[in-house]
Amino acid sequence: MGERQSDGGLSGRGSRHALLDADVEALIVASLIRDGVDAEAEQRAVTAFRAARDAGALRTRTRRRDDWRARERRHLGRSLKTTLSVLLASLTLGGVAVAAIGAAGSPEEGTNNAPERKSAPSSAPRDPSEQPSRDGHSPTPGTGPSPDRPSPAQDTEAHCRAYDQVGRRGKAMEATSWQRLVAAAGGERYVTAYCAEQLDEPERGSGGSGNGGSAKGDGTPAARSGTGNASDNGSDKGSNSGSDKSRSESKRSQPNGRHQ
Amino acid sequence: MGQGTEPRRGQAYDGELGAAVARAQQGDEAAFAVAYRFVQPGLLGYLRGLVGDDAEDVASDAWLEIARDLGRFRGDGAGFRGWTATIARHRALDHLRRQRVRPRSSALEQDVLDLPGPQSTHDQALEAISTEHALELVRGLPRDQAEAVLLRVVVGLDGPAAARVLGKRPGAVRTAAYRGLKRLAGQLGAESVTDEAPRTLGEST
Repeated sequence: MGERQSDGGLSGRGSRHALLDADVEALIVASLIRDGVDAEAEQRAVTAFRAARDAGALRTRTRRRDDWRARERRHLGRSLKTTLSVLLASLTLGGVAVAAIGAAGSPEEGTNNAPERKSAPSSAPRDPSEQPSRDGHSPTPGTGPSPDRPSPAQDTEAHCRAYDQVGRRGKAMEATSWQRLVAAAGGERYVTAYCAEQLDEPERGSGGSGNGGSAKGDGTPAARSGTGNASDNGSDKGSNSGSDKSRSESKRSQPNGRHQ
Repeated sequence: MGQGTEPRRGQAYDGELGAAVARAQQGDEAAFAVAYRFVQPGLLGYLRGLVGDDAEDVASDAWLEIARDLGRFRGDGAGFRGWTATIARHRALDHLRRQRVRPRSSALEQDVLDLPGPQSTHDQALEAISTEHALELVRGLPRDQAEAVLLRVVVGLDGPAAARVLGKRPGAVRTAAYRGLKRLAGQLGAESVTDEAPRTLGEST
C-alpha cells in the first residue's frame, strides 16, 4: 500500500482499505443526491400548497410532532422546573415528617405534666414565647398562666407523681425536679408528706386510693401526713415560695424536659 | 479534500430555508417553492436509500402532506428539514408496507442500478467506484444503520434531530450511523482495491 501511495499519484491518496468517513459520506451524497429538482414535481407541490393555503390550512393547530423549535432548551427548562419542584416537594415532605415526629412526641410528655399540653401546637417547642399570643385571650406573657402552661401547683403535683413512681428505686427523677420538690416541701424528709398532701388535694373527690397506696410504701404515712396537715401554714408558705421558684425554673427547664 | 465537496448537506442554507418557510407560512407561494428547492434534493436522496426507484412518487406524496400541514410547523430551517424528513419517512414506510403485502417485481433492483449517474465526482480515488453500486451498498445495510447514515449524511440532520425522526435515542442513532459508515467504508475500500489494483499498478510502471 505504501508503494501504491507513492507510485499511484492522484489515485493513491488516503487509505483504500478503510476509506475515510468523509470519503464514504461524499460517495453516498454523490450517489443519492442530484442537484436541481424536477420542475413538474415542484409545480405539483406548489399547487398543493396553494390549495391548502386557500382552504385555510395555514391556521391549523400545531401538534407536538410539528414543533421542532430548539428542543434542547425547552427540555432543559422543563427539567430545571421539574428538578426544582421535586426539591420543593422533598423539603415539604421532610418538614411534614419533622412536624409529625414533634406532634407524636408531645402528648406523651403532656400526660406527665398537664393534660392541657396536648392541645399545644406542634411548633411550640421551637418558640415558647409565641405561645401566649396563640390563645388570643392573654396577649402579654406573664399576666397569668396560659392554658398551654401548667400551673406551678400542677407542676409540683407532677413531680410528686414521678416521685411516687420512681423515688423509691433511687434518685431516678431528674435532679432539677427532685431539688425543686425538696425545696417546695421544705426539706428532703418532708417530701413524702408534702406530696401526699399535694396529691390528695385535687383528687379528694375521687377517693384518692392511689395516694394511699403510694404513701404506704414509705412506711410511715400517718405520721408524715399528720405533720404535714398540722403545719398548714408552714406548708402553704412553703408551697407558695416553692411554686414561685418552680415557676421561674420551669420556664428555664422546659426545653430540657422536652428532650427527655 | 473529499470532505470539502459536500460536508453536511443542507446545513449551509438553513438560514435562508428558515426565512423561506416563515414566509410560506404567511401564504407566500414563491417562498414555498424556494423551500421546496432547498429541501427536495436531500429528501429525495433519503427516499432513494429507503425505497429506491419509487422515491419520486413517495416524495410527491410527502410534499402533498407537507403543503397541507405547513401551517402546523414550528421551527427554523434545520427543524424544517427534520419535520419534512419525518413526513417523508412515514410515507416511505407506508410504501414499503404496501410492497410487502404485494411483493415488488424483481426488476426493481435493476432499476435502482440504472439510475442516472452523479452530477459530479469529487475525488480521483473514488471515481472508479460506481455511485450506483454505492447506493446498492447503502440499501444493503441493516435498516437502522442505513437510515441513520442517510439522515445524517444525505438530509444533513444533527444527531438529536435524526434520533427524533427515527423515534430512537440519540445514542442508538449515533452508534447505528457509525457502524453503517464503517461497514460501507470497509466494503467500498476492499472493492476499490480489488478493482483498481491492476490499473494502478499498470499506470505506475
